[in-house]
Amino acid sequence: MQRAIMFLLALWALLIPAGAAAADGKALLIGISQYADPEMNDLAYADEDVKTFGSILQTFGDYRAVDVDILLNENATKQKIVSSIVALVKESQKNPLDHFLLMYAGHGLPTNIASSKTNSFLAPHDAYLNQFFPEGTGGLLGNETFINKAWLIRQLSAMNAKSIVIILDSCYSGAKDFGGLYADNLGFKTEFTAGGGDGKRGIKIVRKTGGGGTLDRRIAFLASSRENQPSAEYQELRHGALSYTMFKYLDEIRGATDVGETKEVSVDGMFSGINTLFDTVQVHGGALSKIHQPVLVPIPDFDGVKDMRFVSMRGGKPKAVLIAMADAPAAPVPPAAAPAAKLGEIYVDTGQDDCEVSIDGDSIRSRSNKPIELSEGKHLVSVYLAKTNYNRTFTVDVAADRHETVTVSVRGQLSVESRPGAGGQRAPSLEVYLDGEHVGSTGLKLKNIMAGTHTLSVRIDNISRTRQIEIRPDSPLLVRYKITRQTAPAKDDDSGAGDVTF
Amino acid sequence: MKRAAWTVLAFALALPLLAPVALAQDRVIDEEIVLMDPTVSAPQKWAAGASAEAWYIAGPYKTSNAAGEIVSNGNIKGTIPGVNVFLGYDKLTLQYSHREGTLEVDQKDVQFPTITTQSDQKQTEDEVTLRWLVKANKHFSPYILAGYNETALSVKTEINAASGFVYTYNGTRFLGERTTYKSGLVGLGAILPINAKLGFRADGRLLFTSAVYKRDDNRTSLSGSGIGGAMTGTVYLNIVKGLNAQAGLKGQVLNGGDVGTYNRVGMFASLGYSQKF
Repeated sequence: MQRAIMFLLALWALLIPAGAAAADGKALLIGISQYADPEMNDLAYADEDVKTFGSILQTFGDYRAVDVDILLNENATKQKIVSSIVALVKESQKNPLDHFLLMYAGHGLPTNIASSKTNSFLAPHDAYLNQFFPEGTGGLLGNETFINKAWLIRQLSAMNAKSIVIILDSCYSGAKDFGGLYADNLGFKTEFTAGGGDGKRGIKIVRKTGGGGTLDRRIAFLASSRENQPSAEYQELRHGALSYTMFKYLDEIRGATDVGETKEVSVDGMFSGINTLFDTVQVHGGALSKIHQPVLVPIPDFDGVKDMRFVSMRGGKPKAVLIAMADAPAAPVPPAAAPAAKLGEIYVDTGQDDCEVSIDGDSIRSRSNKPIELSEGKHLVSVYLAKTNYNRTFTVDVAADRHETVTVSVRGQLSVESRPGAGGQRAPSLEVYLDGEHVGSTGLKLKNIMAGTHTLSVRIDNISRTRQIEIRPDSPLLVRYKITRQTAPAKDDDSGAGDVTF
Repeated sequence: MKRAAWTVLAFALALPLLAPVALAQDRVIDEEIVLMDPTVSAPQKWAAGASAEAWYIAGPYKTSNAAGEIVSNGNIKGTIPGVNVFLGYDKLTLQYSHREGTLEVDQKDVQFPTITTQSDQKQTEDEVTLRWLVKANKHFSPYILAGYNETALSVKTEINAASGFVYTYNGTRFLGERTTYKSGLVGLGAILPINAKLGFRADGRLLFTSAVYKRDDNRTSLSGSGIGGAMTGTVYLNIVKGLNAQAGLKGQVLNGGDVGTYNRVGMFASLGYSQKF
């Protein structure tokens, strides 16, 4: 008996991270940069944006590691996304949540495709664009490889949480009918009005038009763009536009909040901050909002949602200290005058010198393979490879007066294979080019490629195929080319002589 | 010490449940490349088809005797339609043709101009031809022909009543004759494509003929042999793949030696379809 108790205690110790606070929220973060369908372009930052947000939630927010599920790239298949959402919904019905947060960064579909309405919405890793089919009458197009909008809304409607935040950083994410259908599913009749409430741009007005009763939950649906707008990612920002503005705003909040204090970031505050940044951050000579504008759909209405907690942030600003003087009342002294913060040192070892290192957003910039002095505590460290447009963010916990080497792999693996299209045929060898440089023939395995965006080309005879690929250190990539040999059309009739009767 | 040992054991038991897969699974992108590969192709060598043709003849007409002297002058008019079916393999095509039509001939005797005649010439032709098409280049495809042609010509002639003449063998104004021409044939031709749709075709044939003539009283018969010929020249249009239309000129000389010679020249048209498989 004593042994059994000790075993359970040991297991408990492994499952629950030491020092974690009891959490009342769950987060599901889905980021897809790499798609299986050759027809779908890979995205440079979607997966890293989601990882970064996960780090922020766990390091500076109030989420424990066990409360944050992250599905990335090949792990974000439709089956895995559906299973994760269904499991979270079921769990919430047993143990209701205070807060549920869903973030998706990846490809999204517009409401209409080729003049037909569609409920196909978000693209999992294994979505295939060419699998659209007519879904009954009424011109509704379907694609079972995508996440269906109606299905997602049914699940989110069944989620038993007092507050729900949905962040979609994808093209056409501000689908009005997504919010409308969501509210309808909750028994809430709504009407949407274009424009903002209280003069605020991008906030959709949701009005109760009868029936439905009161709603026992509050929902904030934050989209990176309107339903008819694509969403953009920018090399200058190293993030998707929405993710960048979210992180920037949260970093500002953290920087303005004393260490040891917690700041509740409200939906209103977050959306205002994002909107301000969309108008002030310049890319390619124009504001972010010139390309697309974020949208907020509040359910049941904006007044009911604006004070809702988006996330709680722990402060990162060194505290002002009170110095008692003999002949004067105690007065706060600026941090500069306060005793110096305890410092530690990190050395980010990437194996190469051309990596930019940013600490806590843009506040400190350096190069990898150099010691960086930091105040003690947790910091968000980003490593950026400009050459391949690769950005990786992680958390470090700096101890005072200590030097720590953080080894970060910025190299990944690529394999290229060819295989026959039918039995009995031999797979021909393809010549492989990476970023325009010949690197060998199919069957090759390149183990030390810089992470980030590359151009892969293969050539055989007079045929070549080129595609963009995303290399990740923790996700080896295999590109397989199925070579099908087809009968060449007979050429002896190309003059037309064979058709001439006599 | 004991507690530590248990902790280690518990850790060891829990590890397989908690540890992530040590080696990351390959992310896979599948693409397909289709190669047009003649080395594995099975070219479509067989072809089968059919065509319909018409030969419209109109113009002056002369009849010669065995000595080559012109005995009557006049005009001929009529159409000989025909059908062809063929089967081809690679460069060889075997064709069977059947042509049958009636030509009307009005003539005036050279020696006795008051004698005029009206004839109906029913021409029935059966022909088997083997063609070997050689493609020299995109704009020149010559061909060689060999075959057999059998043409039966049944002629019914009526002398005009006003002349007062009758045929002595039957004492009437009516003459019935049948001549059969059996010919081996060889020929050369060429297809001259301008492009895949449009071009020219021309061929010439030599007919090595042996002919038998019989009058309808069966008391007179003649036989002879000679070398005749035929020529065709057309413009063609490949309307759609396999569908070929032609229009041009065709001429024919049936030389029966002592039996006599028939000439025809007229406009020729055909429409044919061939399917490759």
